[in-house]
Amino acid sequence: MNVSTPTVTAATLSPPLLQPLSSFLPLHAHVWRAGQMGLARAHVTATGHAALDRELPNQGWPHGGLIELLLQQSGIGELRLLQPALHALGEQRIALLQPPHVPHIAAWSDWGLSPQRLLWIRTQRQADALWSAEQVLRNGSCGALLFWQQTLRHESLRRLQLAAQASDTLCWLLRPLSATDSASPASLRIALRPLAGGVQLEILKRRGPPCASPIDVFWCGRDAHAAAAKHSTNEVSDALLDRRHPDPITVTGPVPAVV
Amino acid sequence: MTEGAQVIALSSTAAAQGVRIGMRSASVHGIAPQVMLQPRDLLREQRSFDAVALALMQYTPEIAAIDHQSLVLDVSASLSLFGGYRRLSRCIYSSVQTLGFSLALGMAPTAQAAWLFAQDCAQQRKHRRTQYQASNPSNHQTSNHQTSNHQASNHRRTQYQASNPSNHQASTHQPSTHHFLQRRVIKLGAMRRRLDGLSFTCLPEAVHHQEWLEGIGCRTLADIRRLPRSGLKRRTHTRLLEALDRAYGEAPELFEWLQAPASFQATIELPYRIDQAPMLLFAAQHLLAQMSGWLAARQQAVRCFLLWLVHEKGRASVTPTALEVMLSEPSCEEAYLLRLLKERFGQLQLVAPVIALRLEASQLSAWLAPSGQLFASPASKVQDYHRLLELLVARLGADALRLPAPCADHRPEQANQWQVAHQASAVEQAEMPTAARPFWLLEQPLPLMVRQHRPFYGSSLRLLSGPERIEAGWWDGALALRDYFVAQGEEGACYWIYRERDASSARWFLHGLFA
Repeated sequence: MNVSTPTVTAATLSPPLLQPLSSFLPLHAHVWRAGQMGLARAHVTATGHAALDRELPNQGWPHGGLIELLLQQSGIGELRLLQPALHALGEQRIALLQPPHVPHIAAWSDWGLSPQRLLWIRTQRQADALWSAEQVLRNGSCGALLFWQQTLRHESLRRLQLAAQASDTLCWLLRPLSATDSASPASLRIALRPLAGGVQLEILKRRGPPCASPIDVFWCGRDAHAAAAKHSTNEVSDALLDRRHPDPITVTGPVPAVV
Repeated sequence: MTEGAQVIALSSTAAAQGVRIGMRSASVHGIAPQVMLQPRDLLREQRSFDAVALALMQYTPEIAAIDHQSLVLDVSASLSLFGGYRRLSRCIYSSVQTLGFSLALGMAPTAQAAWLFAQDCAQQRKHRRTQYQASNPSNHQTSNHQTSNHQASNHRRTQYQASNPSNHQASTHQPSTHHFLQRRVIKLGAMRRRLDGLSFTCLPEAVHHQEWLEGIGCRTLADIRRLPRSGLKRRTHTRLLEALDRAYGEAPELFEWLQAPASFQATIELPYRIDQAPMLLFAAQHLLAQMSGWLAARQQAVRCFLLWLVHEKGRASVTPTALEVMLSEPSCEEAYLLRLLKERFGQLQLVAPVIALRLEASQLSAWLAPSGQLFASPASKVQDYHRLLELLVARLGADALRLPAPCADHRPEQANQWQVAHQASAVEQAEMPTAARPFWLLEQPLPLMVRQHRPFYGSSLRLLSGPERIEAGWWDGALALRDYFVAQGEEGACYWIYRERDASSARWFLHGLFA
């Protein structure tokens, strides 16, 4: 078949156009490709669990952003999961806002954390609890805020996220698993399910490609190897968005450093 | 406002209805019956003047009253602390405005000159106002000055005038900023040039001889100074020459500085009855402004202050409500105290309408200057933390905040004591058991069902470890005879359960959750 229109062949194109798009389109640090991790916020605290660190942007819990943990029920190891990060915060205070039960000081000191770092805030109304969360974040003297809440309106979540963005405090919001279906402005959402000797994490939302399979975190290093082996056998999909391991990052823009 | 049945000051709304200064009160009633006439209250004026003086003590300890309307402040030592004369003027201006008064401000190397500039500012404003037919309240003039060093370059004096008390709408007739900026002179030469151009009517000593001076063609201060001194002295008064010399910096000035009272108590009467607590904030702000001035003058910080809400007197009298604000760390920051009060007011239910507020500083401690640091230090974090606690307590109540106060006891519910944050004391480190403990403790142990000889909670529980026998409390009547086990449900969650030993039928309880 004879085509009259001039055909464009690779030879007629100038050399730069042949290169992949990424090589001549510099990306701002706040913009990332669908297959990469967003690394704009560089300040993180390592989770202390290597398997989880690998799946999080910047390898740790992000400061200055709301982190939602969705629990099947309270008492499935959610604090055990956060314990290394809380330990890494040094002597900074930790605010517990509206915890579901009485925090046990003995367990806390058993983990090697000083009980004097704890502040337990109990409020009567939800409005007061949200106000307190905002004040704690704005004040900045606490290293971490753990906020338990059953139901939250979307506006409140948005406000909380904005307050968290403006501060350097680690902010975990712990909600029931039923909140998975509703949208949330949180920068990181993880669902937690109990597991014998550990906890199963499913990253529902992160600044990066969707996480295909859940991550098992075990306490005391037990079964860690088994878990790693299980991960390595996972199918790697061809689709860009289904990739288990994110693309290597090529950020050409300035990455904000933490001061 | 009237004095001797004549209008001496009025608001812009009254002026718009045709009321003029100097009208008889009867004619005011005739042309504008809805205008409210108030007789001049000298006592209230004096009280307001004192309040202004007290509030301004935060800028300099050297503050003196020239007459019943003017204050002079020596700000030579305050200029760099408050970031230059422009910012200082702005601070003074906003402080006085917070109290509900307007002011005319002048700044010069000599107090008399500063006062003259402010006087000129007030006169021009009066003139403008009659042109626009706006109001002109009787003035409280205040001038500020300083004398601490006598080198001409550092020798600056400031002056301002605050206008009348009874009127809380200072903003309706504020001077244009432009005008208010022109009356600040820093250099001696510039000050003399500016003084030369001033009308002599600013100087009260010259006003007595106004007719004679105008007769010989004098209009400005320069014209008067050009006259021969001896003749001027013979025909007028020595005081005129003395005032001129002081203004031009050729004669020394002496002032008696005002002293801050030994204790602080201030009252404000509200224009209306207020029955909603948040609306009181505006009035409380006036009192706090005075208190921060007083605290700065006495070099103190407040640890505890009392705000009395005075209710209706007379037949239906109600005892005043006291609102006590206790601070964990002494503070003298007006903005912070105001924020605390705001939260307190938000929670407050008034028992009766409030007609007045009284503020008392009940506990004081010496003020320690904060040490400025380039980077945030742990000490500043601790201070921030105390502020956070106070703010939370102010809104949520003292009961809402808990700090750990572990107690040496084998019974978990006894060992796990939390104390109210506000009475936080140094807690001795209690020795903690080394066995595994759950992070969540149930306030009331939950009785568990038994199925197939196993405790059941959601699913049948499998015992992982135990028993850990706890037998304590025979001495205080809360005897606990329990065997604790760590149990695991089918889905993997761990529980802390115990079995009572004393009962004949072994009952299982859930006491904690391993988080």
